[in-house]
Amino acid sequence: MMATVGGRLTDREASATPDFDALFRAEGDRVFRTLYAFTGGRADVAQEATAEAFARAVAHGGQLREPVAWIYRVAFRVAIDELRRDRRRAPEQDGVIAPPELSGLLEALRELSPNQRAAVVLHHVLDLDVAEVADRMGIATPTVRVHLHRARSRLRELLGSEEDDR
Amino acid sequence: MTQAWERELQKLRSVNAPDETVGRVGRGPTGDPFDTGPGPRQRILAAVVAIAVFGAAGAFAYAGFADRTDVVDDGEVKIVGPVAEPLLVTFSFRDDENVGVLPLATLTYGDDRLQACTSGADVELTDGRSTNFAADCNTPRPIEVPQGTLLAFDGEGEFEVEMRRGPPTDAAPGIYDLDLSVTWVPSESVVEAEAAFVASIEIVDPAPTEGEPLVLTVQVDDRNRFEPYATLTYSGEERDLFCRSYTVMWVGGGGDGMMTNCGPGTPLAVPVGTELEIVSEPRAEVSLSPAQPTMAIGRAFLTIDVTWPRNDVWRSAEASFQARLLVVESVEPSVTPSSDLLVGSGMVLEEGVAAPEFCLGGVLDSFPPQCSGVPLRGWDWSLVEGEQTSGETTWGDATIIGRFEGETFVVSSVGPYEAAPDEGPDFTPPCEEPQGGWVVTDPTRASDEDRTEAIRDAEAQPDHTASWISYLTPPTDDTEDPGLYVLVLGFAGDLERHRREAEELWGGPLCIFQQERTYRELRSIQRRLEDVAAEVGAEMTFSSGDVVSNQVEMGVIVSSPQLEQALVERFGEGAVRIVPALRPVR
Repeated sequence: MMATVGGRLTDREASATPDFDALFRAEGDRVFRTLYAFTGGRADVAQEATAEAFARAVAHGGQLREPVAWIYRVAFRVAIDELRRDRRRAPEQDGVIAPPELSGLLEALRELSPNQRAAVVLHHVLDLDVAEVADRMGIATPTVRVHLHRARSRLRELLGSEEDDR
Repeated sequence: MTQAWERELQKLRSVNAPDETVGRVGRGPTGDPFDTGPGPRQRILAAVVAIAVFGAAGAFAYAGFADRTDVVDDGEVKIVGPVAEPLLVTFSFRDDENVGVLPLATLTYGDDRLQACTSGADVELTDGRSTNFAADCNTPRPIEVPQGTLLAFDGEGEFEVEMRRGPPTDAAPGIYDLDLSVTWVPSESVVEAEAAFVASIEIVDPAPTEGEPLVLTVQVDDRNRFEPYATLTYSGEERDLFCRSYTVMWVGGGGDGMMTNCGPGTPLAVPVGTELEIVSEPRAEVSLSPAQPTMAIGRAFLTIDVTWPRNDVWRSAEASFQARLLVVESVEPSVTPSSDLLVGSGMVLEEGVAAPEFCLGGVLDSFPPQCSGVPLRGWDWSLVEGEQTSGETTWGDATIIGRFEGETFVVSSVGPYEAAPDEGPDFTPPCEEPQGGWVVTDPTRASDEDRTEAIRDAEAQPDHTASWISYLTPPTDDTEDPGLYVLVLGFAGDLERHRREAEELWGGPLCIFQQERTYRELRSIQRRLEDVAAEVGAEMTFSSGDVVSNQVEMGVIVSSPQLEQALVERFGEGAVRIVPALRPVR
């Protein structure tokens, strides 16, 4: 019996193969969204990293204790490797073609470190708490807080802090 | 209400994975499908607090709690506890000294938002929710905040804010208790002052070892050339700490805590379970960090900074803070002590989206620098000082303790960079000084040209091992005077023959000595090192010949018994000296 609890597959003991179709439907867009920000708008890299991470998870079958967190961490790593290879292939190109409505945001996000981008998206867009963000990123919770603090400060500078009632 | 940056960020909610991503998943992994991926994150069950506060002239305070995780970030406090018992919190907004200045503070809890205290004005909730907050800025009253409530505080202006936890409750046992208050003292004009408070504590007791000490170093700086004052209490003993003109000393008892100046002090050994208390008063900066991690405490890190503006003229500003830390055992040990912990010092460099790298394989001294090294996981720039950033590259020096997971170095602890001792070759002549001392025996054959000719002849010999000059007095502009140095020539073969031949060319002080390996053999060994490294899976970072010691130096990321054995089998005992960038933690 496999259950999904807050995006986390449990009941490893039952050794049933996780329903990765359901997992992809639940988390695929969220992983991609995070990787899209993490890579500073590299949709191609984000897609490949997302797909590769899920594909590796499928290959592992029921062996993963926390498949969701595992997928995120693998996706981050795949993206880093891909960007590194990409830079060696064509260092002069950044490969970012941003939709007009996102260009300002992506420009600001690229002023942050990759970890700051990931933390701020996981926390403020995916609505994960700090412990969950730490779990997804494979880093300590205090580190997440530092990333979040710096990211928010920088985004306030770059995008403004004026409020509305929405 | 949301801020502009938050609204912008929400646009990402419309970003979805392209439809073809599913098909790509179905085609399977292109990388190593058996890659085990990152290991499970070590759970940290103890006190975790991080605070960062303020922009210009800002002030704020607080944190308390508990059993799982506390969040204090940019004035945010999330209260988490095992029981839905409310936490009693008292807020005090005071503006009794800076009349005419308009303090501004915002407190958010739950879905409520509080715009507080303008020149003694009433406090009210903007959404109309009734509150038992203070009716004015000077009368603190407690509010009850349910477990799980998210509090957010953001303030600026000239005022004082205090936030305190009420009496400890069962839901929030007093594992960690931190109070902070920063007070701006009124003056004739508005005082500009900045303060920052950062506290980050992770305490893990992976294998509860009763009585094993936590080693801490306390540092007090006096950036503002005044007289910081701090008190450190531990094990029931209180010590005063003065830093006067860069001199720090303990008073009030001997023991193992002695500080000699404002720089890093002697580490203190603090048993697990010790309650530490640090009280700092005006103009002090105190930081507390582990000198060496112990297996009893996987990691502990605390930095507290209070900085005053460096004005030419002293402005009245005071700050104080108090932190109490109780070191506790982990409920669920998650780290197994092992001997695979490694330590090394070097540069860490993070470029763009790549993982930060520990530059153990050489650094290119460009701007920004470039390097090769091992990828780091769990790296945190807030743990080092003096890092620099240029464009998308950030770099800084540190000493890192961690362990390898695959090819990734997982950080356990970070400390200040420790430069390796610069032990150059020992150029002392390896010959006994002749009777009558080192003298020129034939001045007609003691010129620079004669020396050059003697060296050239020696180096042409197949059994030549080394050539160097030993200065008998420190080199100066006229060091080339032959009376001031000894020409040293090493050979593996017939020394008497080489001595006769050298003396025919060189009439100055001469030392002919025996070594085991010829220069050519050293070069041959050096060329073959990469093959040996590849055979045993070692990563070589550099190699160089050391003719003085008659060895080849082999730089590696980390040594291993397999590598040591292979080198001895291949080249003989002592032919290669391994220089590891990372060494086992003992």
